[in-house]
Amino acid sequence: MWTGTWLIGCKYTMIRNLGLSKIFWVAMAFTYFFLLLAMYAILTHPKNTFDMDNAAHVMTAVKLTYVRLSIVAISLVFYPIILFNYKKYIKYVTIALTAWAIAIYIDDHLVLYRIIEYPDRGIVVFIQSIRPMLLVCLLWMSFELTFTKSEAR
Amino acid sequence: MSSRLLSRKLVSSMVDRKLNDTEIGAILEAFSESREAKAGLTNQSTTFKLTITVLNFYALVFILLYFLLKYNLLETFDIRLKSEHVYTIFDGRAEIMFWLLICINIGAYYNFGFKVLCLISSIYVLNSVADILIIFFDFMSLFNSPYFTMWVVTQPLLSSALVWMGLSYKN
Repeated sequence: MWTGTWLIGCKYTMIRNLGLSKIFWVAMAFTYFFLLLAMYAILTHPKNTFDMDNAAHVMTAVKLTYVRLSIVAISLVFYPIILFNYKKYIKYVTIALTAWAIAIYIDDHLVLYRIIEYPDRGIVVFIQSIRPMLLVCLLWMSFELTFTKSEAR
Repeated sequence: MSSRLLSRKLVSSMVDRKLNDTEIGAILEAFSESREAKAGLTNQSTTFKLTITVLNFYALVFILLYFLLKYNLLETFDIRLKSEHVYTIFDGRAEIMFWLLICINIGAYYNFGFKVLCLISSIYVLNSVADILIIFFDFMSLFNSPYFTMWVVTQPLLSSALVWMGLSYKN
């Protein structure tokens, strides 16, 4: 029990030492919620949710989605490790991930909208509708890490 | 004594007498920051200057090639590259790359946000080449679509050049 309390205390001190605002942690929590929800939607989608009349578009969407899914999974695992252990680089990692999220958002809406087709399933529509919120959260995190200074970073 | 009165007295005393070398040096130092900000590109190494010039030419040449192909001014052997879907993708890519290039040049000239812009551009280029490889892998052929293949093959080089420029840039 004492070990557990000590570990929680250590974690709390580590979080406090980073000198980040509560909004940063809320934004990070929302980002994790969004990405986990997206992963759940991708991994559990039924086969009949796609428009089977347009097989090429479906195949493209599936291929792109699985490539993105793997990058998201790696990021979800390594982001907290970099945040707590390699604080010097967290700003650049966050900016890179934000740039990637914006790039794929722009790609989906301005460039690839004729090539890929997302299913009309409820959860996918919900995820697409809250996608700008993810970008806002990532942008907030990038700006906060760029413009606030702390001794730990 | 109010601060306004004090500053007036100071100004009148400065007007009355000539400035010495220390004072001239202090004034020059006060404005040195703005001079350095505008001289961001001149402090860089020759390799950096060469890379940014080549990068500009590279992007402009491929944008030009794309428009020549689009308006049938150059021969293409692969008919699949002439579909409207493909043009939509490359129109978007050409436009985004054009604006990123403008931002990079402005950032380098005014010494503002250049490293971040290089990072964003390299991520964008890597993402776009991954998308292109997933969607158009079958289209790649040096004989049927040489310009397209050359463009795809050189994209990782472009991304590496952007990363190198971001790392070697002297603020």
